[in-house]
Amino acid sequence: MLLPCVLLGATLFILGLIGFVTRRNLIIMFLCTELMFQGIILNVVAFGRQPLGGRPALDGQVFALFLIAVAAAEAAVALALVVLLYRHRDTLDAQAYRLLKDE
Amino acid sequence: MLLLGLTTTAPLSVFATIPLWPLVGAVLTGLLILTRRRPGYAHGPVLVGVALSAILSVLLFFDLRSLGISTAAAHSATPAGPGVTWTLYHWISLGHAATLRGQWLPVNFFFDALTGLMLLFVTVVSTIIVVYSIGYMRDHHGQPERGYERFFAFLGLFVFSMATLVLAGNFVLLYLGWELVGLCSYLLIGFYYPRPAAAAAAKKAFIVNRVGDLGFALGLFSLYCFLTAGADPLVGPGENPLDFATVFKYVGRLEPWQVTVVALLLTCGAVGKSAQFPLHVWLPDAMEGPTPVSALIHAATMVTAGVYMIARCTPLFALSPVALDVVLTLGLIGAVLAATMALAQYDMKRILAYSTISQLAFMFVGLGCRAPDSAIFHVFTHAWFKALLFLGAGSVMHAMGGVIDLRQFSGLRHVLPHTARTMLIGCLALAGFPLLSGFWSKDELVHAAFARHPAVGVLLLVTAGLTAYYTFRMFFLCFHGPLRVPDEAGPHAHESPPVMTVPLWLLTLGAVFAGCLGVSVRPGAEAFLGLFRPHGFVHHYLHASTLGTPRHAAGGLWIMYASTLVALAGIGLAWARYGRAPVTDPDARTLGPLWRLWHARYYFDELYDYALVRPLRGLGRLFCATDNYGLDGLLWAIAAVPRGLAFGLHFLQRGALQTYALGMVIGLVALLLLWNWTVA
Repeated sequence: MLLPCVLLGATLFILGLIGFVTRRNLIIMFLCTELMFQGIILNVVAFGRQPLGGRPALDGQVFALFLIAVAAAEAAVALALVVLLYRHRDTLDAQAYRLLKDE
Repeated sequence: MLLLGLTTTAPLSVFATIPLWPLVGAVLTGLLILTRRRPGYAHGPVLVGVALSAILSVLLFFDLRSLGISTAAAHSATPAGPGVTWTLYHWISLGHAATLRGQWLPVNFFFDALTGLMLLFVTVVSTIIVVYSIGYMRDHHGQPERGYERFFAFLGLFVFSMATLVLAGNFVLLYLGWELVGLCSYLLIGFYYPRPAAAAAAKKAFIVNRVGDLGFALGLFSLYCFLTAGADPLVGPGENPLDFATVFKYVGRLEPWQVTVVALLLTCGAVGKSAQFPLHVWLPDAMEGPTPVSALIHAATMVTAGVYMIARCTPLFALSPVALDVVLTLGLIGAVLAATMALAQYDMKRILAYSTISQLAFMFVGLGCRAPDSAIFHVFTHAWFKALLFLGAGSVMHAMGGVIDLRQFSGLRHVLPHTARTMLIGCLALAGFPLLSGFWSKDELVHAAFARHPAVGVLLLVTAGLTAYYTFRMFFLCFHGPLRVPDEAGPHAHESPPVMTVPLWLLTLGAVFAGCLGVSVRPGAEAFLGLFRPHGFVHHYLHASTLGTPRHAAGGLWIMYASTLVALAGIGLAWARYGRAPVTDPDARTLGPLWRLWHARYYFDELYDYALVRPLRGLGRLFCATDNYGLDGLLWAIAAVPRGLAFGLHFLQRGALQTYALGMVIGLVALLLLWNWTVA
């Protein structure tokens, strides 16, 4: 029962990763990070239910709840940033924001 | 001389404030600078401070007896003489050696007759010079010169330093005053610091003094070591090893070679401070400062310090014939060299500077001949007429618009009557004209020299003749002959204001009558002119000091008549050759190469330049190059490694978010693979 769950989590994480690296739109990239988050949370829950050694405990589920809370807070900040960036430059193309480039 | 009956019941603590008042004045004047206004009354605090300490010094001079310092006490058992030590506060802990446990070096003042006499002329002459400076440091419209406040603040500091030096009760405090005096001379010689010559002269004075001071410091170190070394040191518990009282108490129990080492090192310090051969080169250059500073340095506050120090250490020097002979020899060389150099100069202030070196050398000869009281007496009389001569030269310079070259003017007695008259008296005193102050003190030194060895006496007499000659050469070139005035003086060269001429006349009183302190008037066949006997009051007075009771040479009256003759001959010869202030120098023609050698000051400056200054500057350049290229190059090479690395990597910083993310992914994958590979 552990393996499918872990595989599903890993698939979600890798899909998010590929999306983050390849897509240009900042909102899509942000959604991809959310996808990666969900993959990890799924992993945490799965390992919590069926640990590699020892008896199952509630640790994984508690941890998952914390992660969801952190993800929600991060989403609020990230979306606010996206809005500000759009107002600033009228574009959400990630390629447009390269202010830290070493000249 | 105690006819005035000036006795007060002031305690020592009142007299211990003598150095304080000039310092307070200097600080207050310094605060005036902070207000950024340029008040014409900035001299006020310093003048009041210096005058206060002068009044206290006069009281102290007449009051020593009531303080328990008298010749009666001189014969008591204390080896430090009848001096009284007054402690202000604990200063420096002497560390934790078993014999010195809990000991402190105090700031203490030592009062005896030598202190009294030195303070008397130091503060009084300084006061007169401060008054004169009020007039001198202004332009022709009476406006204060730039740096007026700074000048007076430094003057106050100078008098404070010298008073500290004279009052110091231990060698460390003496050294402090010694260095402070050097610092003040640096500040004042470099007063016109935008002028390169002034800045160079200030540095030269400071550095040459440093050479002597090194010897002085080493002398103090060795004295401390000799007195405290060993399991059973000479200095007992509860005694400060560098107090004058302690040193003079135990100096007789040192080994003779130890005394000689200390005395020679102290002599080194005195030679630097008193501008004696071979460290005399700084004094003529010190003329770059304002003229009142020269007067202060030459008469009251600086060059006398060396003579004072050796005189103060008479109990030490008396035990070392070698050191005394060194002092004597240096004095003789310096006297003759400086007098001959003075013969061939044109700068009035330089002539006076060489005469100071020569007169100080006379004092050294006196010290070397075991006549420290006569040397101190000459310091005392010399202060008055040398201050007078310098201030007179300053008055000439003031009227001539800053020109001091004797070739540029003559016949000034028509335009500067007061200056000419006071200068005449000053020159007569310096030349040793009978009955003026310089005559009495110089004659005593000649006496002492004849008692030491006839050759020494003859040399001094010859130098005295040269002194009379060059002094009056200067006087005639300046004040006699037809009236010639340089362009810088403007159309109306005029006498200085009363604030300058009154101090001149006051100093004239000193130049005439200061010698009376050393003369008793009692008719008799064996007295000079049947009336005057040398070795008068000042010598009895000085018995109440660490000088002890020196033997007095009974050289016979003929020496006094001989020195009279020599002085008159010098003046007469100067009148014959320079009486009409000829434009071409007759000596330069007659003496030829010898005159040129003297004019070039025996090439001392060039010699030192080639032998010392240039090699040292080369060494400095070498060190500088080692630092700039060797060390800095090494550091540059070390810093180049990360810089090169960064140059290789800076293309990776593209600012693109997703590139970085890709990098992170690649890194993560690589780490995972590595982990998989190493663990499995």
